[in-house]
Amino acid sequence: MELTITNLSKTYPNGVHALKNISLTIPTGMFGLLGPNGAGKSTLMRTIATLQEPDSGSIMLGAIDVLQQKDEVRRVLGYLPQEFGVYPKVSAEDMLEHFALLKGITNTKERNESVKSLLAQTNLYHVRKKHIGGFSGGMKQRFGIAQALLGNPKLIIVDEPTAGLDPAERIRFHNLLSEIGENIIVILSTHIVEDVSDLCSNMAIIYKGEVQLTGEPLKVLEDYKGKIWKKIVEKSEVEAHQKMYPVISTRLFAGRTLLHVYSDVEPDSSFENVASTLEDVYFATMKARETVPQLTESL
Amino acid sequence: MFYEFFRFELKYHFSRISTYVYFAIFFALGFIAINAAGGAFESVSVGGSGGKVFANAPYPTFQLISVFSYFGVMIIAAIMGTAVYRDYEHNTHALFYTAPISKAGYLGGRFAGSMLIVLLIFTGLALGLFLGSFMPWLDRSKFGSYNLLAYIQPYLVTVIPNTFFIGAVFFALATLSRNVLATYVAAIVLLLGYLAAGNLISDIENEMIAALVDPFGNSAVDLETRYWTVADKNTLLVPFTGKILLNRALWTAFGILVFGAVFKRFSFSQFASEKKNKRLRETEIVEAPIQTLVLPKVSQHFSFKNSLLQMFRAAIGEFKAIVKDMYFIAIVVAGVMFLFISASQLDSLYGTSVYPVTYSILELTSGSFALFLIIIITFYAGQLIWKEREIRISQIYDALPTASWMPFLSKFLALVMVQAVLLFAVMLCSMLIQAFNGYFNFEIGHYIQELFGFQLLNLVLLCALTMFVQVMVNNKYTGHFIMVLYYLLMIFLPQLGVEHNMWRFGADTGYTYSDMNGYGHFVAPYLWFNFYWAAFAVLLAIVSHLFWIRSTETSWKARTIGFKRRLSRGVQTTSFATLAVFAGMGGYIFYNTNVLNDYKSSSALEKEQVKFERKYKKFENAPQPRLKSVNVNVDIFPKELNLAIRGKYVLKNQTGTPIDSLFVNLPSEAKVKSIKFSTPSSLVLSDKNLGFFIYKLSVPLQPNDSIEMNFDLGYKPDGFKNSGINTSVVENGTFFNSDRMPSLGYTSDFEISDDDIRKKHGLKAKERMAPVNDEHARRNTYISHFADWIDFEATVSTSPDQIALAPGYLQKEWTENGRRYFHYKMDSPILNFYSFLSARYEVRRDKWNDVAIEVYYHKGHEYNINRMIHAVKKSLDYYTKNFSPYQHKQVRILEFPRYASFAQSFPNTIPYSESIGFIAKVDPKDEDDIDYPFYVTAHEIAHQWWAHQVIGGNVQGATLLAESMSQYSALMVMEKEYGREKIEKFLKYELQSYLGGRGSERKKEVPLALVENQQYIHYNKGSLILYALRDYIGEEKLNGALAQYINAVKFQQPPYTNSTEFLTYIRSATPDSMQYLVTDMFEKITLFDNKVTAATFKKLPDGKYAVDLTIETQKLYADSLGRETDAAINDWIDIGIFGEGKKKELYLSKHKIDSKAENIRIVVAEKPVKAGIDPYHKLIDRKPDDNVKAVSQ
Repeated sequence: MELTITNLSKTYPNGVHALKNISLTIPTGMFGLLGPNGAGKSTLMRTIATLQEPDSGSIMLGAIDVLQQKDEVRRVLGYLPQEFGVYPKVSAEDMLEHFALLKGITNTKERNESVKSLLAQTNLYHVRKKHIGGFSGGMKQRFGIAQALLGNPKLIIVDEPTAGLDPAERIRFHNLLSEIGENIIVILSTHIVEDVSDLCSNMAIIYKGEVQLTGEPLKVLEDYKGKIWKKIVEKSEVEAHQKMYPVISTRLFAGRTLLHVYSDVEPDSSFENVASTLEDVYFATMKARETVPQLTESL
Repeated sequence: MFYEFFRFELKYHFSRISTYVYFAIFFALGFIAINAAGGAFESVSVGGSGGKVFANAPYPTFQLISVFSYFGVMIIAAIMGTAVYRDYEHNTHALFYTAPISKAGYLGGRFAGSMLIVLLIFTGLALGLFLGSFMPWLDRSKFGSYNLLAYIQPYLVTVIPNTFFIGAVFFALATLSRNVLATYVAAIVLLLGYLAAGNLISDIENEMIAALVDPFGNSAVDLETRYWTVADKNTLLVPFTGKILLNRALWTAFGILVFGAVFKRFSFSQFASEKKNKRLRETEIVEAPIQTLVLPKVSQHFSFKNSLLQMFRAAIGEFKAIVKDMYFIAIVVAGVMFLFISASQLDSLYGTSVYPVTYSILELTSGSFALFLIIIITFYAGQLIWKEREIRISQIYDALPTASWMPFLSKFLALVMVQAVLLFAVMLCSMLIQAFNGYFNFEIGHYIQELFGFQLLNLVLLCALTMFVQVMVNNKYTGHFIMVLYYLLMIFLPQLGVEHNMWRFGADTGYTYSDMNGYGHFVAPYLWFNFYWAAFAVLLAIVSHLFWIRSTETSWKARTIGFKRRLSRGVQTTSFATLAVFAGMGGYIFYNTNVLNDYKSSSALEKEQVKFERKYKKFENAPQPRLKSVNVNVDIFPKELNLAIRGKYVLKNQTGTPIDSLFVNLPSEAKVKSIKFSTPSSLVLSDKNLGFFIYKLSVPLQPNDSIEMNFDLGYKPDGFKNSGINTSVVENGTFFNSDRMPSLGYTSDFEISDDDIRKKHGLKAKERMAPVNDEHARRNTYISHFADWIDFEATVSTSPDQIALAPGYLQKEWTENGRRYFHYKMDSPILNFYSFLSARYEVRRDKWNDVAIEVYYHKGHEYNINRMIHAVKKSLDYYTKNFSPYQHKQVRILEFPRYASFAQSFPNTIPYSESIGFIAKVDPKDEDDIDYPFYVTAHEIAHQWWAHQVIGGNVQGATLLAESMSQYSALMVMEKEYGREKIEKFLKYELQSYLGGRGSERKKEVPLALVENQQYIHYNKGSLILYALRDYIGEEKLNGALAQYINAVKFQQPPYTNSTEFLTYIRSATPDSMQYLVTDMFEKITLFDNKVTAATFKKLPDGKYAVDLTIETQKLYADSLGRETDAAINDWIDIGIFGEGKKKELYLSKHKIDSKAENIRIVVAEKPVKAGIDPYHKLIDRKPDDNVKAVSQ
């Protein structure tokens, strides 16, 4: 099964052009949707999750027309929204049990087993009787995954799940996601490059409502191999360098500024070649979008 | 610092659109109200104006501004409650609290700034009232001169103190609890105080508590202004003294206290810190996983049955969440408290309560709880609809594979379940109250039928509407506000001319339960209307489902897409089917109310009255024959609610001219089968609509000749009406009177009496009654315009299980064709005023000398039968001894259902409502209890003399002779039985009712001798005056005069007696020195302001005590609107001195008082405790409390 998105566009009433003619094909396995805040990731996620209507375009999940056959999609959908609250005084077990029933698991025995097993696998079994309101951020997100996994989901959408988690929590969460089987489509939207590099077999970078790049992270990195250069300069020199070289990122390093430049050849001898990371790809892609005349805009 | 915050707060609110919207709403309220009062809309009366009270007079202005400002409590909560809380809600507190600001400046500035904003919003009311009153379309005659202070002073008395202290409470609660819901609970507690005060006020003993406990100050104002006359209302400003001052001081002090507390408790560091939370933390080391997650294999089912299961489970979950909510519990506790407070005032009359029979307790409990149910529905409908979105879990829910109708339906069901549980609580509380009152006849079936049948059905409709509104407007607070507007609209719709129940959501024909007749024939129309609205509610639910938001987009465009998607074939079919049911039921209802019955709106009825007067008044003085005898056959069919009347009138021409045209009046619902005269006649005018018919006799009726009139009328009801369900012929407890019979000639009784309405229709203002000495009007009694004394005979038939009754003596009783017949015949002439009753009666019989006493009552209502019989005997004793012989050989008391709550005296027949007296609970040990079954019985028996022997002409003062004299007679019987103290307590209520009645007068107050059928005068003032008169001239002398008068005028022929003649007898029994008293009491409106300003005593050497009193006396004469003028005092007034022990009289004597202030010294034998002027309140004094004072050494 594949999720095929074709020419999807959406403009909000306030004029924000959130999706611009997006087309994507998402195979089974973990798919990373990488982009900065406001790139249109959540709009896309919500549209796939049946919560929003696009202006035009289509989404197909195998044979299911996602935009028309919402009920059918919801039966195979697991959705963890970007931000969600919980009833402060309901235990994890009760809440999950409630969701299980709403997912159509009407057999009580199956439901109980399913809930127990999911709580165990998300490492929440020992706190199953505790109120979710008292969970830490990481536990809450794992609970969110548990509810998304209820039933027999074929499509799981996880929207910005690691924002706000501390490093250990994030690793735990990554571990959990990585355990989800390969034969399910899992879409992970994030603005954190590590999320994608750690977990995803496929990815797309989305920026300003457009898909800038798609592919397998390893192959993509291959394309950038030997093309990323670095140089440490004084703050006062940054502006001049930005004018001269295709600088894709700047960051402070020990009080000075570390520049990364994307170039097929060595810009000059003061630069040093570095191993490219997904982050470089990410920044390079966005930078390209910034400087290249917006050809796609008129399409 | 203070100024900075103050200015910031103002700026903040001035930049918000809501501030202007609130102001506009209040401006509009004021504007609309003054236009309503000024006659811009049809027959709407607001705020105590109307009649002779000007629309812009100080009193109605005060009432309107005050009452509308109570609605503003919501705004106080929204603006002042959140003044500091806002920082926490928006997470700006950390910025503020780390800055170097002072607590006083911060709290004070925010509080003062937000309070000023609220007050500015409230000024909209006064501006609206003031500017609205200048609209060109208003009737200027309804406006008096303007007094600017009248617009300012309500703010000083009500609005500013209330805003301050309510605002302080909300401000404190929200600031300290950091939970805005706490203000809701506080608002409900305030409401509780307001309601409780309104409830407590009905008992004289509780007035002071009521005045203080009302946080809005309304009860205190009511108490201080309750005796205001028209003139007072037009000129006086509500005083800032007495109970009002106390109340305002109390609650303002409370507000200061609360603000002080918040100032003390508040600290920046505490408030800035996050709420304490112990989050679970994980600390173990994390390692990469080595296995794949194995998802448990489950089966998922998505059938309709499964959706239903989910729906019920979700509903139960929602339901549990609500009932566990502490705010829900708080509202319910408040409701239950109010319920018990109201229960302490259980349906009392003169401070004496009734047995808590199920219907009365249910009316009380569900009535007092209704407001809380409405609050809960309004509030929790919003909570339910917004629950997932507020907690930010809606996206998960919305993406679940549930049916899209599931959430709405489960939430709706949860709300209905909450109602059911609350009604169950009402049932338990009701039974508890019954048990506390020692009443253990729990009628569970009745409870269930009332609460879970009738009431729940109506609440379900309300739940559906409220949920619908919440879904559609998609803003919780707007939804609440729309519901408040809805409730207001429902109150005013009938006044705006929308009266038909088919146009007012949830409206129905209503019902009254009676122990005698159960719910009777009210049930069917009630259910028709409610099922009609239920079908409409289903449509609302379908629309709610279609527009339900299951998306992160909430624009109407997005919702329309959802609408189209959900409008499936199934939904379309269901909608059309429901629409068909709705239309079908509507059709059936319309057929009943408008086709089978004549539907008339009140303005249509008004127009008919106008038409009747315009068309037929010209016949008013046309000579007509007089009714001499009546012989009727009345067939009552209780099951069918059917009535057939065949009768014969004998009419005699007592005029000097031949009569050729007979004017026959009939009730419009009568179906005429035939009307025939013994002389051939032709029907020359038949106006069925107005019930007016003219028959022309072929041979004119010569003077002193008689003619027979035979009529055959049917009163079978067709279907049901929109309102006014007929309660005269019912399954058990039929009661109707001679109104159902034809009458002759034009009667002015049907004319519109209200001058405002007359003016609207272009009719001239009209006097209520003819002048006391109008010789022409005195040709008729005030009971009948075409009969004097008649011979009466009736045969009444009913179903075999019932007893049917009519005035007269039973001649024969038999059964024929499965029906029971009773033949009654009266042995002496009676007034043309008789009644028919039929019910399954129990009978208790007794005797007084030769007079048979019979009480016909409903089984189970035995409580007070013996009291009634006792009262009959005592009354007959007193009246025969002091007045004249009893004209009949029998007294019968007949219970009838509580569709009306009066007792009425017909010849030897007294129908007596089940609600007054039959279930009274008189505690003989409680010295405060007044035995009103005894009293009412004595009053009705007295009518056998004062109405059925002495009957006044149809002129002013007629009801003095009937009602005031019956009051006096009954008081005397009661005094002999229960002593003077009970009478004093009774007269306290009479004084209150009289003085209060003056304030509600719409036309003019008149002296007692000129009373124009005004209850507050002929009952309440009558009692006071005649009891005092008895005291001044003595019982024997007064009764002697009354006996002479009765003997002179009883059973007289026209012209009938009047109060002028009556007073000549009174005057002849009154010594010269007291003649002024008769004038003051009967011919003038006299008021006193008596008080003791100083009272001291000295022990004398001989062991006696000298008491020195300083008394002040003021006598006032009032005109018809209550304008007072000082009168010279030269009056005999009681001076009394009381010793230890309960009202031990040491001295009581009348002193001639001839100046406004006097010092009096009296020597008494024992140590005095209290002393005063007019201590027994024989004179009418608006401040009776200051008449007596404790005596100090």
